[in-house]
Amino acid sequence: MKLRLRSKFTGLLAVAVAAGGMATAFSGSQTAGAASGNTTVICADGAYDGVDNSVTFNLDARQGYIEMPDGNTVYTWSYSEASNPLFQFPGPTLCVDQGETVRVNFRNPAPVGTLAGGVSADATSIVFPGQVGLTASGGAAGLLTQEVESATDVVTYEFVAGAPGTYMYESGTDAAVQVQMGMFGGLLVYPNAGRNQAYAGHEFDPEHEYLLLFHEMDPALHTAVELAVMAGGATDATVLADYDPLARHNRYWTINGRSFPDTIAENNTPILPFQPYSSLVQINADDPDDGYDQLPSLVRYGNGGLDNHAFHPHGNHLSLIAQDGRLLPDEVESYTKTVAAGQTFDILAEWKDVEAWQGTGSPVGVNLPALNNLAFKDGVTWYSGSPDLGVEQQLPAGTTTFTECGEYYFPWHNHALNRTQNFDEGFGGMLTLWRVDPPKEFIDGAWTSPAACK
Amino acid sequence: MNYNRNRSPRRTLGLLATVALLGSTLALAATVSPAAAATDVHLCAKAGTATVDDPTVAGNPTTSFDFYGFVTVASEVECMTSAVPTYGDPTPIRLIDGDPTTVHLYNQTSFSINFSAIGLTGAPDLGGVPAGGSDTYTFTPDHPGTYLYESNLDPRHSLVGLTGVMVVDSAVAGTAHGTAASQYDKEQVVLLSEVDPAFNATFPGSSDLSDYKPSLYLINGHTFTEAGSSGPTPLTANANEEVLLRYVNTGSTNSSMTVLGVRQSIVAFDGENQLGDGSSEEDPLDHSQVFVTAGQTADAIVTVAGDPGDTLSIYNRNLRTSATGDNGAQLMQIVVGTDIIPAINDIYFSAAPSTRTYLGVSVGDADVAVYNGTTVDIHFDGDLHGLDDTGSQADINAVHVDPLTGDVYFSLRYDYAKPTGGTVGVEWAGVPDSILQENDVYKWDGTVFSKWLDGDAIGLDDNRGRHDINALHVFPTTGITAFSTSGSIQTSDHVPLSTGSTTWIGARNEDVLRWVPVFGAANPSGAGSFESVADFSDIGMAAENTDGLYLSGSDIRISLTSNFVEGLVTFDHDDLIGCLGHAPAAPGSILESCSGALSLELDADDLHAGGNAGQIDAYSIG
Repeated sequence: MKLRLRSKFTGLLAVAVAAGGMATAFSGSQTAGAASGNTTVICADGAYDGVDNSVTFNLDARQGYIEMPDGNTVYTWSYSEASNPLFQFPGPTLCVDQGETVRVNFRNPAPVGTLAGGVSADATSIVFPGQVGLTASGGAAGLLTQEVESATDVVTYEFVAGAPGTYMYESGTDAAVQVQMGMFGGLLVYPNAGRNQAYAGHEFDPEHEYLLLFHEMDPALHTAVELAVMAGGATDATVLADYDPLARHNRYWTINGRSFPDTIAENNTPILPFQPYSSLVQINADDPDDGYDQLPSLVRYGNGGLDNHAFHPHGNHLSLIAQDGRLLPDEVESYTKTVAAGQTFDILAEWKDVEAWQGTGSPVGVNLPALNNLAFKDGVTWYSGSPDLGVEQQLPAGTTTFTECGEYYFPWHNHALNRTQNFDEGFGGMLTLWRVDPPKEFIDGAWTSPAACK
Repeated sequence: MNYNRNRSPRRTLGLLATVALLGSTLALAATVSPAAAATDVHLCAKAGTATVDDPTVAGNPTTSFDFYGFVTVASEVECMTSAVPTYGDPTPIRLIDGDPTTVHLYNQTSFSINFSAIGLTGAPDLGGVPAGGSDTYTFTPDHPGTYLYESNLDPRHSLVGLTGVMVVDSAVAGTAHGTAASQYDKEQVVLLSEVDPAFNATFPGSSDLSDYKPSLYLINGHTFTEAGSSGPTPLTANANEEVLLRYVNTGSTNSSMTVLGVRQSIVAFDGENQLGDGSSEEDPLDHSQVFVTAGQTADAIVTVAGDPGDTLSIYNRNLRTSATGDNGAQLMQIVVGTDIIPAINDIYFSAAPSTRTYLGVSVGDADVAVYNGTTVDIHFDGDLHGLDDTGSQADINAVHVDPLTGDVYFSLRYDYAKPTGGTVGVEWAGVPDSILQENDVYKWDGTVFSKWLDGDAIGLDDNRGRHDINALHVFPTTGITAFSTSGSIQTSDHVPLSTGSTTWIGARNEDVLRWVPVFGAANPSGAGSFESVADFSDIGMAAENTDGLYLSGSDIRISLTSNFVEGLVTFDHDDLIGCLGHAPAAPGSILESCSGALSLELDADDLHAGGNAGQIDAYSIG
C-alpha cells in the first residue's frame, strides 16, 4: 500500500469571491499551503485511485477576463478544473507524486458569450512537453496529439509521471494562437521521497514553495478574438480573421497570470477572482546559532509564454538545481537566468546571514542618515527603518511602511526592463518581490515564523 | 567503459584530434567512412529563387522569394554555369576532425562576400572576395561537431541566405563527439532561418537593415503548413533508434526547440561538449527544450519512441509564425519507421566467481540476475537448485535467457556434481549425467532442468578445459547453439567440422561458433555441423576472450575477459560491447566488419561502481 505524500498543510481553503454579482467559492480539490501571507504554490490534487495508483484531473478549456493593474481587462483563454465554475488564468497547477499515472480528461464546453464555457476554436488539445510514453484517446487526431473538436468530445491524456520536477502543460493545437491566448498551466511531480523535496535529496521548506509561470500578452490580439466571439464567431475562420501573429506587440507581461504589483497579492485574493496565484516568494533567514536548520525555499520557474525571459532576484544569489524536470549534474550558483519559452528551472533560495543581518553592527559599514534627512516617495516604503533584519525603527513622521516585522523585500523580475510595465505604466509587468523574514522561532513546540510576521 | 575519466573533455578531444592528425592507427582509420572525407571544399555563392508554401494564404499555395546562397560545386566553371543554390539546404559539408581543409570560395554574386565558419576559421576575412572573384580559406577543424558557416562581411549576408551547415565528424565513427553519450544511429540537421522576402528583394540595392522584419519562419528552407505539401522533409527513424539532431540557428532570433514525446540529450553547443560540470562524459544534459540562440548550433540526441507511422514533432516553442492554424510554424517531423529495433530492456547476467553486489542486490556466481535499466533482480537463484555459489565450482559462466519464456540456458565454469536428493533432486532428475560438464548446456524451464547441448556429442572434449563453453546464445526453435569457448579449439584437438567429417576446426577463444543440428530443436546435440558466426580478428581482437554473447539479426553483443581498447576508447571487460551490423567474413576470407565503431551497450559501472570490480562473466538480453 502506497502512502500518498502530501504537504503537511492541506487545509481546504475556501475563499468567497464576488464574480459578476454572484457570490461563489473555489471548491473541490484546491488545497493551499498555510504559509505567512499565503503565497505558496496551490496544488490541484486531482482524484487519486489507489487501485491503479492513478490521479485523474478533469480539465475544461475556459474563456474569461483577467484584470491588469492599469485597470484594463483582457479577454483570455485558459483551463479550469471541471469542478471549478470559475475561469482561472493560468490553468490549475496539477500536483502528482512520482510513479503515479496521470490521467487528464479534457473537454472544451460550449462557449457562453465571452464570459463562461469553453473557447471558440475548431479544435483544441493539451500537450505535456517533457513527458514520455503519453497516450491520448478520444476526439480526433491533430498535428501534435488527439484534439477535442466539439463540446461533447472528451480526450483523455495519460502518462506515468516517471521523473520528479517542474513541468508545464499547454495547448497543442494552433499553439501560436492558443498558448498566446493563455492556454497553459503548471505540472509538479514530487519525488517518492516526499513532497518536502524537489528531487530526492533536495529538501526544501514546505511552507516556502513557489511556482512562477511567465507569460506575455498583446491585448490587441486578444481584443480581436474577443470582438469576433462577441459577434457570434465560432470557427477559427471567423474568430481568428483579424488575428495576425506577425503583428504581435506585447503590452502585458505576467507571472502566474498577474502583473506587478498584483503579483505580490496573496493567493486567491478577492480583488483578482480569476487570477488565483500569487508569486510573492517568501523565505525565512537561517540563524546558524539557533540549532534549527532552516531549509531553503523552492522556486520553480516555467515559461508558458512565447518569448524568452531573463529573470533575476535582487539581494542574493540562488542555487539552480534542475532544468526541464531533470537535476543538473551539479548545483550551480545562479543569478540572472534566461528562461526560454517552454523551459522550466528549479531553484533553491536561502538567506544565511547575508549582509550581516544579525544586527551586530552596521551591515553596510556606513553611518545611517539622520531621520530628518530621510524622505520617502509618496510617504510609503518597504523599508522597516532599520537595515537589520527583524528590527523595526522609527521612520519620518507620516511615513507608512509595508513591513510587518522588520522583514526585507527585494525585487525579483524580468531584466528586459521594457517588460516591467503595464501598458507603459511602471513599475509593473513581469516583476514580483521576495520577502525575507527573520529566522523561525521555537513557539509552542514548533519552529515557526515570528508571530509579528504573520 | 572508461573514457579516460580523469581527463577534461577538451583535452580528450584534443587528443583525439592529435591522433587523427598523426595519421591515426589502422583501427581508427577503419572506423572513419572515407566517403565522408572532404579536405577540399568548392563553395559557390550565387543568387537563387526559393519556392515555399505560403502560410498566409488559404490552401497554402506556393510562393517564391529571392535569396543568395551557397552551393557546393566541382569547379568555378560549374559555379558560373549550372550551379543552383538551395535555400536553407540542410545538407552539411562534412569535414573530418583534424584534417587540414581548404575551402575554395567562388563569388558569383554581385557584391563582395567572405567565408567564415564560426568556431572553425578564426578571425573573419574583413577584405572579402569581390563579385566574380574567388579565394581560398584554409583551416584545420579541431573539434568534432556542428558548425554554421556564413558570409559575415556584412550582417545582411546571412539574413538573405548566405549561410549553411558544416559537420566535423568525430574520428570515432557513430559518435558526434567521440564519447559514449554522443553515439547515434541517424542524424538530422535542423536548420532554422527567417526570411523577409521584401528585404531580400531589395538586397543589395536599397535594402534597409532597419526595415528587416521577417515574415516567414523556416526549417531546412521550408515553411510548415497544414495544407501544403512541401514542408521540411521528415526523417524516418525506427523506434529505439538514437537520432542526433544537429540544430543550426542561422536566423536572428533565439529559439527554444522542443521534441514532443521524447527527451533531448544535449551533447554539445557550438561543437563544444556539454558535459554538465565537466567531470563526467556520461552525464549529458537531459532536457525537453534546447535553447539555440542566434548563430548557435546544438547537438542533441533523441531516442525515437512510438509505433510505426507515428510522428514526433520537432518545433520551435517560441511559436513564431506568420499565420494561424499551425501554418508557418517552425516544425518538422520524425516519422516512426516500420522496422522494429528491439529495445534492450532487460539484460541478464551472472557474476564471475564469488558473490557481488549490483545496485544493492547480492548476486552469486551461480545466480542469473536481470537488469531492467533501473534495478537489478535475481532471475534464477542457483542456491535454490543445488548450485552452491559459495565456492566457484558452480559458477555459471555462460547464460542465455529466452525472452519469450524466461527459460534459462546455462553452462558452468567447471564440472560439477549433479545435485541430488529432495526437491532439488527431483528438479535435476531429467538430466542423465551424474557430473554436470563445463562443455554442456543445461536448461531450466522454471520447473525442471534438462540437458540442451552435450558438448562431447558435437566434438568438444570435456577433458580439455579450453573447450569449456563460456559464452552462449541459444535458438530454442531451431536448436542452434551459438557459443564461444574459454580457450582455443586447436585443429590438433580433432573437433570435426561436421558429424563424421575428418576436417578439424580451429577457433580461438574470442571466436563465436554455432552448432547447427540437422534435426533442429528435436535434437540440438545430434548430427550437424559447425559454422563460424564471428572471428573478430579483423576487428582487432587477438588476445581477447569472449565470455558473454547475445545475437540479434546482424548485431553481435559480447563481453570479454579483459579490457579492450578501440581507438581511444577502453571497454572494461565487464561491459557489454556491440558490434552492430556485423558483416561476417566471406568464405576463404577473414575480412569482417561492424557497421560502425564498437558501441557500448551496457556500462558495467552502471551496475557496480568501479567497473572491473563488478566482474560479470555471462550476459544475455531479453
